[in-house]
Amino acid sequence: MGVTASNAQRLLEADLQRADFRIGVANGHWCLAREMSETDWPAVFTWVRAAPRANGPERLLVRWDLEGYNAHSPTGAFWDQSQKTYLSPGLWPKGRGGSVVAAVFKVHGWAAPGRGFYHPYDRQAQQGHDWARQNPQHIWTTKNVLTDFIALVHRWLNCDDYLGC
Amino acid sequence: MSKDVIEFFLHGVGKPQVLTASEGESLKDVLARSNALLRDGEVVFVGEPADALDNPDRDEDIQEPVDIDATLHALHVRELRHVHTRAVRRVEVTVHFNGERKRRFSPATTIATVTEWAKKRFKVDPAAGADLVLALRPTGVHPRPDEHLGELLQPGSSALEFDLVREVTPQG
Repeated sequence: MGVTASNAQRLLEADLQRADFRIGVANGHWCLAREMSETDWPAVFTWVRAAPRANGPERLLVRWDLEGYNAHSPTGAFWDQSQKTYLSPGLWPKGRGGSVVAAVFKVHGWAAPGRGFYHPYDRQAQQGHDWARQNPQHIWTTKNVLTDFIALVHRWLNCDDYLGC
Repeated sequence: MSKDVIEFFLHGVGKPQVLTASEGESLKDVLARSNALLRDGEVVFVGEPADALDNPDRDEDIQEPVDIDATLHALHVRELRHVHTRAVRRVEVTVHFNGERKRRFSPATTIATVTEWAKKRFKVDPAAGADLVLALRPTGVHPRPDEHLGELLQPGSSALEFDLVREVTPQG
């Protein structure tokens, strides 16, 4: 990043150099899809590996919007690289009915369907919810780093409740 | 990076660190350079053992500490990638679900391995247990799957207790 990088950009860049992000890269769980750039910012793109499913890809591309990182929580969504837009709702990962996977990847019935993850970490999903009481383990604080959110997406895409896309 | 220089992860002195070193160096020299040499009673492990998945009914892991005078090459650090310094020899883990199960784990074991072990020991059907995660007592924090037991210990402690809980489904 250039000399004009914001605090948010510098913080994220430092976090992506930390061991916890690099361990995931070394394990093949996730990686940056392309280097951070002024042109993309506040968007950053990562690949996240998915468990093998008959109707699922090896990995999914996630576009993270990191405006105000990390005082403000990220918002992320699956991205279609060829179309340069959010992944079509019909192609989003599916989860077993009633599961966490089905809930966090739902593409209808909330404020940002297909443009965010329905989870307390996602700033688009926070509005209008009492998740601080209902789900206190996943309230974003300045102690959190993007890797925490990426690790959750990786876990959801690699558990038995994930059914493919 | 020259061919004999490797990158690996050092755990046990604050947050995990990314280190580079020549494979011909002794682990002792590398630890000294990182202010991570052992104190009385502490040991070093290399790797991320998964003994518990192969032998879930044993009451203790089999991984042994390494000799820090050996080279990184001899310790297979390139392949195993994780060095855990200033470690206790075993972590006494108790997991509560329908009852409790205990095992003495290597501190180099990941939360992912302990979670899978707990599901096996409680005979949880994999299809019905996909959303089960470990919650650390007493905080209730859900450690990430790639965190290691040794990183969760309080200073001077060698025991951890977890609840095996269902991840809360976001609703509303």
